[in-house]
Amino acid sequence: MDLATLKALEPSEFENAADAYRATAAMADAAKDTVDNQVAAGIRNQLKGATATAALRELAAVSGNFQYVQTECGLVSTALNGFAFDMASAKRKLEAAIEDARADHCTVHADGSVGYPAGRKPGEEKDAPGGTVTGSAGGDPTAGALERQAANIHPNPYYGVAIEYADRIADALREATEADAKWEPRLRALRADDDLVVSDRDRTDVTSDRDGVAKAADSYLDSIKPPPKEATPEESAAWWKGLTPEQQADYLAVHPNAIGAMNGLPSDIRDDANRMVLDETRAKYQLDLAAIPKEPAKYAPNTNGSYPAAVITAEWRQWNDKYGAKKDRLEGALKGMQAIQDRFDRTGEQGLPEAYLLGFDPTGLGDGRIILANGNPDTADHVGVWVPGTKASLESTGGDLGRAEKLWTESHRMARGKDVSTILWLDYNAPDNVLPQATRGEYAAEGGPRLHDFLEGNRVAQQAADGTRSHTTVLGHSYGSTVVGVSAQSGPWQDLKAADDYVFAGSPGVQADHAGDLGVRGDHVWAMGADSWDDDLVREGGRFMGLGDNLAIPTDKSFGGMIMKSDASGHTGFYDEDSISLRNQAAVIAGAYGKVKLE
Amino acid sequence: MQLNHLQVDVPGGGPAGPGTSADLRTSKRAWVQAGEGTKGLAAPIGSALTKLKDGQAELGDTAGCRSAAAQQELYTSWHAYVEKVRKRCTSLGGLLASSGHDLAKPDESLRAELDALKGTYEDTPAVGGQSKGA
Repeated sequence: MDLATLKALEPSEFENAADAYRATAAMADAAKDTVDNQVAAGIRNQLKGATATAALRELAAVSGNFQYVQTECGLVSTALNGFAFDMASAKRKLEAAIEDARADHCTVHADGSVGYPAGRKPGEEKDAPGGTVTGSAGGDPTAGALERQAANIHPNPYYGVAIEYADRIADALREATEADAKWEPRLRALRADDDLVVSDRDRTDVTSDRDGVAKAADSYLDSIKPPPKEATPEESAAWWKGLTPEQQADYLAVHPNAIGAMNGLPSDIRDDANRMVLDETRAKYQLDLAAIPKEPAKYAPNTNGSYPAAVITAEWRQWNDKYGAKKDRLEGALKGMQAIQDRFDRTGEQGLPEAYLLGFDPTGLGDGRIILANGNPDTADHVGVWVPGTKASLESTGGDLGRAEKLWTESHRMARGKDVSTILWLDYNAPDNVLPQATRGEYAAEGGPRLHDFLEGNRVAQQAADGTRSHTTVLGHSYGSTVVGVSAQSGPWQDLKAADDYVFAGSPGVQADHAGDLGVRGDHVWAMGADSWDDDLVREGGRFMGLGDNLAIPTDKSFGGMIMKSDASGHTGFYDEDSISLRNQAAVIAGAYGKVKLE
Repeated sequence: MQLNHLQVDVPGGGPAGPGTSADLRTSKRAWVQAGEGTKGLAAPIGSALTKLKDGQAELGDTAGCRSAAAQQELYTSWHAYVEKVRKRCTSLGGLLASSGHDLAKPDESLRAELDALKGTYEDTPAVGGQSKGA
């Protein structure tokens, strides 16, 4: 890049262009919400049949267009800000060098060379003539030493400073040229797709675009204050609030994973971030799955033996060794991601509110991580956070999401016009089996503090949204209740304000022997069991393996909680529709304590 | 969030005379709401397009700066994309709304029209393909 171009370039003009892209991304975000949560939800709520399905298909495609615009224009904005930042840095150096050269009676020419006037060194009798020097960029120590030597020998005292300015100018121009070369392909890569079909390939392109922008814009992004490490939700929230809107948008555009997982941030921001991650992850997994060669025939007739039997083919074994596990993993995760998408697509059905994806990671902690809210928890009057038990994983998400929805429907009905949000919280490595894994407390010891942090984040986001905090109930099923128990006893003793009520269903113990240990009064700790062999096995098993404390479990009278009636037919029956057990849990979520039926 | 917060005027008396079942009226109203909601997106999309255009106003001559030239291409592509999305919203919304307004039009013909839309949009290889970003 030559001197005239850099001098004429105005970084702020690129920043203004970036602002326009940011506004476009914001428009797309809002438009996507309208399509999903009003238009499509309205159709689901009122219409059925093949025509409705066809309309929903078209609307889903439009929603995909907006998601694409939101994500990519967000990245364009970051890229243009990054380019402007780099250019501004080079330009400042150029201007400073020109300014200093002028002050020293030198003239900067259009080609970057520096002219110096005639002059004499002290003691000389006459002026040495003036001249012009051309600088070189990136001077190394040897070259620098040679230049100094030349300047010392040179009879004109301006010669040395002219060389210095010419070098500084060359450095600035080189910096600009390098930034220009770096950004050109990055910007071209961000061009919009030329068709309106957002394919898996387009989505994975978005991921590579993001990586490219994050790398290229490192200087600019480094200028944004990073989130505090090991931060409390309050600190994270304060950090986010301290950024300008541009910085927030640019940070979100390049770090959706970090923003999506950050406790204390507003739920709608986390949702935006996690949906980007979900969309792109799903696209990548689908492409990876499609790239696996077709499974060969597993069995072939036995041609060697004298008996008629089928043998496993060598081809299949080879295929299985190489791809079998990968295929299972991809399919399992895709099943879970589809379940999340299905939940999004149920918004509006029977009044189901919009979903907020507050946490998503396909491999986090082995089982995958999903935190999904039905309704906005930041603005809800009543929030219920439900923690599933053993075997919960991304793959099994469908059923767990269904339970959180049933809790929503029932508590919404009881909340008499107040807003309710129910959250599925699966962010711990749930034991894969009841015996022996679930009889060890380590899964809860690891997950409990994380749940505590999430609840604190929820409280902070609620207070930031409307200055008040919601009535919050934390519910645990089976081993999930152990996690809840550990969570309740995590964090400083003084700030056990994140939960008002606890509900335990089929609990094998909560690492406490008394309700009061959980930081709320005993009449805000609720427990129920099922009259069945499998529920007995879990609860009594947990008792004797020490998941409680002093062999106590929440359904014991001595525990000091409120024992609720339950009509569950087994350990997994606490969430059946129209059941007393579901209604009881919903009544606590809705704060309708009078409606709880006690044993 | 109110799912039904879109208030749309639906032909009340007129064609919805006697013989029109309550169910039909409800479903027609739902189509109108969906259609108007979708068409209504054209306005915010339009103002985003204006902002994009205004954002380019000061950026003039790109000679000597390769990134500035790339930026111009970028703008052209995004303006075109967002414009296409606007058209898509207008045509889809128009289809849904008109079907809602036209009480004589059976759901099946709307479905056929929606299915016909499906073929309108075709995927092409990602822009730049393999060389993208390289």
